[in-house]
Amino acid sequence: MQPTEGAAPHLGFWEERTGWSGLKRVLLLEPLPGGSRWAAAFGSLLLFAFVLQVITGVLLALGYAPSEEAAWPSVNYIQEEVPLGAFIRALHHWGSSAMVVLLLVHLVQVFVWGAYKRPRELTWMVGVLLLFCTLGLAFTGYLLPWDQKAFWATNVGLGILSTVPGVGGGLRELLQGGPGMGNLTLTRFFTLHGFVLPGLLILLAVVHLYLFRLHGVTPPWWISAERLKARQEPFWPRQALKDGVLALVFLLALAWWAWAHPAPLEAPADPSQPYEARPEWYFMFYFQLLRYFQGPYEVVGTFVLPTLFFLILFFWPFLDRKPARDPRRRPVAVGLLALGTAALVGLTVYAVATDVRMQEPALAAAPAPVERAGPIRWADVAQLYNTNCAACHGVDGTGSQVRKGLPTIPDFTSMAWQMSKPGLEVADRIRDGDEPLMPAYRDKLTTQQILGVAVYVRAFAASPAAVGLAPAPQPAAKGPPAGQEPARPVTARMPAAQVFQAYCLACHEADGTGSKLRKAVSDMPDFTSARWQSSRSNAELEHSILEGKGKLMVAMKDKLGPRDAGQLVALVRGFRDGKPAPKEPPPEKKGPSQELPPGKEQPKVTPPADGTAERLRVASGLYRQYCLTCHGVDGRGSEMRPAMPALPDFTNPAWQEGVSNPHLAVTILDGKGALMPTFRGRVGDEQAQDLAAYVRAFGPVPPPAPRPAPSDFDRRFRELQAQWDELQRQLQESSRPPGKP
Amino acid sequence: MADITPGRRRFLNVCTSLLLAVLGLLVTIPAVAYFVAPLRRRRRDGSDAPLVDLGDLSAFAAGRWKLHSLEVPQEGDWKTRQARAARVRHAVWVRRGAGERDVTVLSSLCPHLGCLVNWREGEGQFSCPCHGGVFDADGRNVAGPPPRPLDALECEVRAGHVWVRWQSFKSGVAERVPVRS
Repeated sequence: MQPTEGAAPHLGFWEERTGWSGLKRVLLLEPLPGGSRWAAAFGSLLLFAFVLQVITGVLLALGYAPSEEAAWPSVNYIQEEVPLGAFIRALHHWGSSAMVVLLLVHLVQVFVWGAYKRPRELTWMVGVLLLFCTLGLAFTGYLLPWDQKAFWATNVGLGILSTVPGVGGGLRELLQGGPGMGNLTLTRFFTLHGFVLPGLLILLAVVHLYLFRLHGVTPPWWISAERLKARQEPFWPRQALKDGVLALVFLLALAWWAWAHPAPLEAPADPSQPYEARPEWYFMFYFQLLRYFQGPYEVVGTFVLPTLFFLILFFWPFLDRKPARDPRRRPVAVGLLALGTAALVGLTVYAVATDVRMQEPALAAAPAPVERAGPIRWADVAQLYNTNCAACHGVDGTGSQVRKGLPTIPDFTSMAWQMSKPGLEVADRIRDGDEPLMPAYRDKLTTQQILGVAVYVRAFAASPAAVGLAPAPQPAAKGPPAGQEPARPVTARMPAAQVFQAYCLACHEADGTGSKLRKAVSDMPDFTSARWQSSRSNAELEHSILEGKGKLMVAMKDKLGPRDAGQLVALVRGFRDGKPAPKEPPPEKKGPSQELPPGKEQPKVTPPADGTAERLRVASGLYRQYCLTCHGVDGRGSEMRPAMPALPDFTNPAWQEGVSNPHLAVTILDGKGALMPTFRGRVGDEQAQDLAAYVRAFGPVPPPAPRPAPSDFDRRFRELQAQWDELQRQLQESSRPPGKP
Repeated sequence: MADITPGRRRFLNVCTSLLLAVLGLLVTIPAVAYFVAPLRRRRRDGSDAPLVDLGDLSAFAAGRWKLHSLEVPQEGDWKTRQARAARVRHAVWVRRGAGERDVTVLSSLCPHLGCLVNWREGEGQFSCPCHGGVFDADGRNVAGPPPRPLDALECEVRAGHVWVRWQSFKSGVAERVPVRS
């Protein structure tokens, strides 16, 4: 810091222009009384740990988005996709714990040394503020991944804050950015964690270092002043070497630990999912403390004691003003330190050891990410479904018991729903979840298990019996629907290609190779393989279709007749040599009812008026014959509801709004849940649509057109058909060798 | 301090500097590697991208350019980890020719610096609003800074619909170089 204008030219280019030797003198040549010491390296190690947190934090911020929708996915992206992402995140995660440990070590060391005594009181107080900042960083950083743990732990933390007498509620809202945790909580915490607190910490650290340099390092109390003077040496190089060695050891140890222990990322935050919030280990003592103060005394544990503790800590240099630094001559201070340390360590250990968690919910207890050797078994899949899915979707897959609360829950037994989820869509929804309520299972289930559960879900539509569902209990008093099963002429009444799309494609795929599911289902046949084709007779194939085969091929005899099976076998034979499935209605010439170009509205489909009355009359007859027993004359189903809680009330506007006509028609044809039987075979497709219209008539507002159903159904069906065509086209395209047009 | 000879002092200096340099590099190298990771990912030039449906051919008047937007999947961030891949909207100029299956699709991005070019019906030419580049009705660069014609995109007609394969090309160069992303 010498004025350089008068300096001789031999000083060199940089020295002449920057005067860096002056800076070097200030930074590196500070005299240390008593020489370099390992014990003096903890402060700079703490600084190094902080610099490491800043660097890793900046790197994480490169790929982080603080919003409810994006926070978890972006952290997940860092964790799973970004090269080195998981490592950097683990470094930051474990580095924060390490920093808290180093801070406590530094604090205890300074306390034992008596380094807070006059004239270094302010150095200590700034140090306590630095401790605050670090704990604040730990608390705010905890929320940012927006996973279950983060959400609930922060929720509790904010709850503790709100117990502060008087201003607690306001403080909470201020931090939270609103009445509840959400986007603004994330942006606020991100700002605090990424800008405000680090800035404050850097500022305080500069003041801390300035004060430290002003008063010099506190020498050991056991060495006389003369000897200290005699053994004095500058910071550079010996102390720098010791600091460097310690930092290197710390870095390597942290890197090794972080490499071996990835930072946890739990399921995305979901305020509707129960979670046992536990703080990070260094707050566990506090957690334990709160157990001792309950009811009106809770504020003692949440606010009074911690505040008292930090006030005493902060003002300690002014409470202990005797100049003696030898711990043996400070029994009270050392006693308090021992007591405080014992209490903190004791509470932490006790809290961790005795933390009784309630039984892990079945969701988490599922033997999830353990890959089982060999192919997955049907019984395992059933168990997976029952533990993970049945709580909402029901053992029968209809989801009826929770539909009142979750109107969007799908009915797996509905063919309309199944057809709206082509290919691997079901598996994708299980893996990634679905807005707004379906959780993602990618962290709970393996890919194999997810595929298995997807197949299981598909099977609901194919045949309720195949998934181990007990026969539908028939109402005791009235029995007309019962006993009709054997006589029922079962047939799909669909062309074979359509049957294939509805029932087979989900697993065997449009090209018949079944390649996507083969990794989960090892005995999945490849219809395009000539060897497979020649090893099976037509009769064998028909038998497999109707009676099921192995663990996963479900019996279709409830849905298909022998004729259907025969046609299907012919279709399957067509796959030989990689020939794609013949599309039943090719895009150019669609079925007779579909000559209209898609996209145009078809007023033509509205039936002539005379036909309508006749069809409605037939529908009302059908209703009386098949539906009235359960659904009642008035469509309310009130008589049967005690026995069948899921029975809908057709006069309920909410119910009417919640179902579409095609959905109704398919429900009539394919049945629903455990109690609604299938009427395919007894009721034709058109009649089902008429019945749907008839059911509509129970609703509050009679439908404007007497029969909007068929056109609606047709349109929907055509849309699905178009989606299929498009999917198949894309599939063919993607399997085409690249480069060829 | 007194017990340190100049030689030993120099040795200590070198050791400490080396150690600190190693420490710095240990932190810096992974950090830089992480920062430049986006440059190292696997790239594709977009020629294998799926065709996108632009809709009914009859919606395009013969012989006239029409701007049409399309969505194409874009990889590269956490949205691709979610169920539906991230999509980005682009726009293309579409013109139907005289023939049944004669369709031309041009990228709407100016090959100069990537602005969106406009079609001026009156003058019968494309013009770029940024630096005044002008292209004739077939997309050839006739005036201004653009170094090459507007980029024609691969397209075909299937079942009465126009399908196009979106691709980006490097701007500012005379050759058509696909941008690898």
